Amino acid sequence: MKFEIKKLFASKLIIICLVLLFGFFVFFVVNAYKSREEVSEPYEKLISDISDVSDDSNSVLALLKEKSEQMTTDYYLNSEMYHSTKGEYGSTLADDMFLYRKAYNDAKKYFKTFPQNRIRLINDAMLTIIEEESKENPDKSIIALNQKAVDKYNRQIKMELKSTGDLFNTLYFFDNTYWDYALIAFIIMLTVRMFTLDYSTGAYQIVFSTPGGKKKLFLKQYFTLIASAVTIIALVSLCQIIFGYLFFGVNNLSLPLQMVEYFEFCPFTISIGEYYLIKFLCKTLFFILVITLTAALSIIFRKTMGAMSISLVVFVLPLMIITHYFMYTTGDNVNTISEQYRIYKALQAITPQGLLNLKTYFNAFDYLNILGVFIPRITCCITITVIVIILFFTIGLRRFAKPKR
Amino acid sequence: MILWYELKKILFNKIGFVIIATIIIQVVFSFIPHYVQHNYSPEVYRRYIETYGGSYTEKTYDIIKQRQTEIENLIEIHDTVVSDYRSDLISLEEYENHNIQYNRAIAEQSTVYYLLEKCEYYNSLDRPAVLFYDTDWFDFLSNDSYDYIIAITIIIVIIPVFSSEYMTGSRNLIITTSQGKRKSALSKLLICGVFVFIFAFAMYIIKVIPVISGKSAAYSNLPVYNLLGYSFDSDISIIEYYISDSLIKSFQWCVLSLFVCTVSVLVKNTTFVFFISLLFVIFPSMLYTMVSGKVFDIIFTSYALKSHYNPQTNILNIGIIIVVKALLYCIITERCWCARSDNSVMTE
Amino acid sequence: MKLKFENISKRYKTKKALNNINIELEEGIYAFLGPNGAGKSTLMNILAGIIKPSTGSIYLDGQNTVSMDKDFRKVLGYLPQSPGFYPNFTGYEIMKYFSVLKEADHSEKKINEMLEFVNLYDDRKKKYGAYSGGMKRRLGIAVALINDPQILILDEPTAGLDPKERIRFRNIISRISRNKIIIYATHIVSDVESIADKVILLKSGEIIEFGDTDKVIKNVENKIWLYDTDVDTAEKYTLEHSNAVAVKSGDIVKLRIVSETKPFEGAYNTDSTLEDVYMYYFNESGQEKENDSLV
Repeated sequence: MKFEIKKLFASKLIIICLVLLFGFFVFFVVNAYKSREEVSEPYEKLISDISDVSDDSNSVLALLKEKSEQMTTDYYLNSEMYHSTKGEYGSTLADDMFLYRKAYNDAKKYFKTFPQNRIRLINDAMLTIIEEESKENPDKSIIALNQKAVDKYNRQIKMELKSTGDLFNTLYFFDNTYWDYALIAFIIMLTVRMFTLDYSTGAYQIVFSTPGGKKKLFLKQYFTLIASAVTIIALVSLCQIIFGYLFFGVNNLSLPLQMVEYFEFCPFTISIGEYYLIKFLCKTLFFILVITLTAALSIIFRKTMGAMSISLVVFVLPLMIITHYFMYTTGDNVNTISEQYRIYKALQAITPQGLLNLKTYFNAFDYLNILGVFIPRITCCITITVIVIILFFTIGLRRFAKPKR
Repeated sequence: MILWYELKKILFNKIGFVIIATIIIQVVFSFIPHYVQHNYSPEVYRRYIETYGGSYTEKTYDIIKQRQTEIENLIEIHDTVVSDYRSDLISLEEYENHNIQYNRAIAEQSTVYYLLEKCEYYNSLDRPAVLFYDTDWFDFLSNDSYDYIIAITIIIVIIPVFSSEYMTGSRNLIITTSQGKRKSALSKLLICGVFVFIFAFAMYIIKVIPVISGKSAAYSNLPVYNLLGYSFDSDISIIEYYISDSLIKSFQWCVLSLFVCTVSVLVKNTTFVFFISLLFVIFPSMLYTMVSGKVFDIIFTSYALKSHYNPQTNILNIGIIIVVKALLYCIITERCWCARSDNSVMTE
Repeated sequence: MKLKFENISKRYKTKKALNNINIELEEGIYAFLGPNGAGKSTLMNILAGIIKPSTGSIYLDGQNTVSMDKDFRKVLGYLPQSPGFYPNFTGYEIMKYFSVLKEADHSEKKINEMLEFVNLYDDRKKKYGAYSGGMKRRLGIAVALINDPQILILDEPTAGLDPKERIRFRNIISRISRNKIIIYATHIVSDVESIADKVILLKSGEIIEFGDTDKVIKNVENKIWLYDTDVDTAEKYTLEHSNAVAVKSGDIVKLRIVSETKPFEGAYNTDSTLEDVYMYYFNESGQEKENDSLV
């Protein structure tokens, strides 16, 4: 594989393109730096002290409620003193009061609202089951789906009074569609170069007539590309974690994902760190698909521009379409019975490009009924991606070094 | 004659299919109805225009204002009416009548607010205005999405103009001919620029065909200031505005194609030219939301392509920037094409 | 017409490709002979204006060819080592395109004449991509000649051609050589032996011999030996020495040896050829060959 790596990276132009790519990434880093939020150390200290006092959520809640109410009452009685006296955590007592209030609101969110919402979800699901079962011809799929919901949500998730940081902004700056477009273009370029270099230089006449196995050569080239792509994705993911920590305070990766507001209704029991890992793996899988399909096209066409153009259209066009419909799942536009929302959900299930925007698979109970079996939508998407990879891998392997008709 | 051969190289090979495919895609996309989110109901808006459309007068404003008041009153009293009905203070018939009015008010509320906003805009214009169903035109002109179809086509078509000469080795032969240096380079650049200009402008015309062939065609000659937010001093019509915008953008596409030529002669390899062109032609437009400013408008033509034509802008400034950039790219391309290599790879 | 190379040197990063080339050429056919890496193509490319020399200049009738620019290119015809034309263009179209670029007569009559000259008239409507190697070369020659150049550069023009094509090619060169400077870079000796007026031997970027072909051949006259021996001795000798060629003649093998001194008792002098000149100047010593054979 050493020679395949050299074949790929020997040209200075590849290094220049890599530098340009990371220059593009640096652009996002700079913007993230400008938008960074100062980690509130006083708040971190406060919740750390509270956690030291007690582990029990009820006592923490009670303590914070008492303290914030007391401070609020005191503040209205003696606001001047509150603004002039040095606080235990903040610069003034008034700051301390706001810190306690924030801590109380957060504690309420984690220890009260969250379990209540869960219970509500479970109750709704159970009610639906009962209603359905009471019908003359109950729809078994509805019963099974709601049973699944009950199973998923009826689990203990240990919430902690800790700051999760701003995961959303971290993802906005370091995991957005623009970066995906750039990386797709780069990986396509690398793959096309690897598989058409022999043809464009004329070296294929010698290479393909050597006694060494052609399949072995294909695999070496293929895995070199995968290794390169995985390295880039790993580096970027690492940057995401580092800059997420530095700029947006995402410092505790062991916290449950449900502690992040957007993911409150995530049915999977995973931590923030595990979410990062799943994201990394899904992205890697997508780019393996990019490499596989582009390799197959390069082998079939043997021409640089043809392979690049078609690969670009195949990967970018669906991404643009799915991103267009994505806006119907955000903010005020959310209307789950609208046609656009349903189109988006359908695209999420079948287009591998959905793996680039993983958060929408994790923010709600989203299962598909495939022949009576309920599987998460993301599993459906991953399965289709894997099938397409295997299909084009086989095509590429079989067509590699085959004489042209 | 050289121009003809350079044009032939662009069109009469497989790349020609790309151009045809792009035109087909553009035609298809233009005729597919696009869903655009509005903060009013287009259907309700159309019915209001049918009733009150035409030359805008004070009377129109009064009618809309009155309707707004009616709607607000209906919404205000709704809870009371419900409560009265529950308390048997009003009959079912009265309640039903109110509900019909109330539901209609709710449905029309956002549209009437929009109409009022428009009326207040017309009031501020101090010029004769026309109230018409402008949703199609407004949506069409407000669409500031960067034309990726044109961008990718340009990259695919223009890259081989120079880089294929390097890849086939014919560049070395061409530059030994008497016309092969400057004249050949300038011919190529001229053909690229003219071809891209015509192609881009044609695509813009294709885009507008669904609008001007529909009901909105009748309004295309109305002054553009009739559209909300287009309060220009000039009386330029809607179609003239669009044509002007398209012309300026076509010139800017032309500049982008010359940029691709420059990258081609600097890099000399199709694969890398493709990636670098993508990076500088498409990605700046994507980052428009994150970073913007006059400087970026000047440096990145993709930025300028995201913005809209403003009749009040000094066309001369735009023209100078386009000409300077085009000249710069042409000079660099011509120099690199004609230059004798210093560090070529040994051939034996 | 005089073409003068003055102090031409070319250095690449680690190697000096050309070292102080100083020669003057007049009308005639000049063969640049040398092994691979001698600097022939580099010199051709410098003359054609494709690469810049590190030092030195080239003058045509006293005028610097770089400052002449277009005027120099008007009188130049160049056939590179691997001419790249457009696969989708027909032979006729390629001729037309380049004749326009060269400001030559691009009428149909003239183009057809040129194609006839190189025996491609019948294939003029075929796409270049469908041409055989020989046809591609012939088209290259036609393109190089379309503007009736006074200076014609042919860089390895017969590489990859079959013997029949090579003979045809030599005939074409002979026919057009009047009042022209034809520079023919090759390492195939037989190509130039019959047509070159003068030979320039290039080795490691330096000119080691320059003169009339006959004189250069005569210079090694007393250094060519023939020795009649048996097969085994001949085989053993040729394995150990690179300055010998064995030619079988019935049961006897004639060893043709290039050597300053008589290599064997019984060896006798014979007439020298250009190939012997090549062997003499570009051969490593027998000692070196032994070392090579161990490798």
